[in-house]
Amino acid sequence: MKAITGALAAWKGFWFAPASVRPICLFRILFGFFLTVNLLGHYLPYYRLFFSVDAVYPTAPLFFFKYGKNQVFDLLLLLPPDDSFRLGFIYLGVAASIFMAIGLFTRVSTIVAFACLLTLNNHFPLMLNAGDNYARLCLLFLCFAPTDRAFSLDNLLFRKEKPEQLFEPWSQRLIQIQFAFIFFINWIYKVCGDIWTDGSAVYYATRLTEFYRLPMPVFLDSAFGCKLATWSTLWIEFLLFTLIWPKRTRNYVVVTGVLFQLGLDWCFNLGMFEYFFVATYLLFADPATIDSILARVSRKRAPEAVANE
Amino acid sequence: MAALQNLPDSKCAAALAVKPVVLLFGLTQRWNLFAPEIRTMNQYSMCLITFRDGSQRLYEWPRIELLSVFDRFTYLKVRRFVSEYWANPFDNRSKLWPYGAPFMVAASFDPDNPPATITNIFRGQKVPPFDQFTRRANMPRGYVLDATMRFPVNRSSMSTVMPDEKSWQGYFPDVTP
Repeated sequence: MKAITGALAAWKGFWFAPASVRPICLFRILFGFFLTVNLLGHYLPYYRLFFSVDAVYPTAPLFFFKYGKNQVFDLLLLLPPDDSFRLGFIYLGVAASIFMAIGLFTRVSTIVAFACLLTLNNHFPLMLNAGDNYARLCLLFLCFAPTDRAFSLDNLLFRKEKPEQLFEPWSQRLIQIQFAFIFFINWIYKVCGDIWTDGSAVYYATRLTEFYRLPMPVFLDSAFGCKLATWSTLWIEFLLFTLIWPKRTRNYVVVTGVLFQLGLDWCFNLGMFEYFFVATYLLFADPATIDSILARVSRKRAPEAVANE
Repeated sequence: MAALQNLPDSKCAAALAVKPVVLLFGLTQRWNLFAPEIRTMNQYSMCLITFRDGSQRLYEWPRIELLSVFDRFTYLKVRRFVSEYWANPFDNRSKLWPYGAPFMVAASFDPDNPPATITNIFRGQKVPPFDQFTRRANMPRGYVLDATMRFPVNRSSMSTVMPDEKSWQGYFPDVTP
């Protein structure tokens, strides 16, 4: 009975014990910036192909084959059938992302950004990769977090007193669990694949021309280097859903994870995929560490930080 | 919900039951980048527009390896769409192909000489197997595998139907034409 009570208390503490708002507010800034780059860099340049009235595939058959008779959230269908409205809708998403990043009308801008991204993703789902799905889910969870309480223009412009710096972090925990779950599933898929266990996966991945980006590190042009990179990937992904949780190992895993994602971004043309993950590592950071870094940057004394756990 | 979506094929009753909610709120989750298997073929697509007088115009979707670093970044979504869906004979969304052809018709429409057929051309080249390790600089440059799908254009509506002709040349061991 005592064990059950302890487990319930730990469960409740994990989701609802007060935690600092600073990590999730910093995450909001970085995530908002990456989302803006995503919309400007990936969605806007080819909007005619995917989102215009005369897009490459008409909406009706695309929806029929993709969604069947299910309903989907798509605000573009409510707009007049004119490309200027659709272009304006993408700019609305860009503006909401910028507002979210700078913390202006934060809650509303986060919800608008989510609605825009969900609409664009649903409207032409054939262009999406896992990074889009992850960004959309993060935005959904951010809608429920008080991300305006720190590092926001809302604080500067509309509040006379500093708001409460603690919150019930269940929305932050959802993003963290989502993050760990992705690596867990990816790891399961990978260990089930022959090319991952025999060490040849990185060889094939780095030979696909459509993912070419920057010059490949020299060691990936050797069989040994490819095997080493393949098995290292399996180990690192294993760490990212296991040892990222204990406080003692977390910082090491976070640094390893950031270097891993940036390495992937160097080697593969995956857009903002890796950057959304890089931003997420902020949510695992200890608020005291964040405060000391910020203090060092602003050359001020670090305020007393609130322990995350 | 996430776990259900990642079950093999996600065809279980529970996965189907939550599907409407997943679709409505965009909760789709499939996390399998480069796993469990990786495609082992480089590929690209072209579109050949044949006009009524017999003249032809070739449209080639940009190839990532020939673009600048900046263009590779902005072209990401188009790359995804083209390599996975447009005229890809390995894809199971072939029913959508005829709906893409009118986009090409519209881009090249001349009332005096309208397009007569649209032919999607898919080209591929297998990556040499790992036991024949090949450095990137020495990768085969030619595309030796071809799949073509020819769509006749309806004269009155400028629309197309399913291909009247398909052909697979080269070596496609995984495809039954």
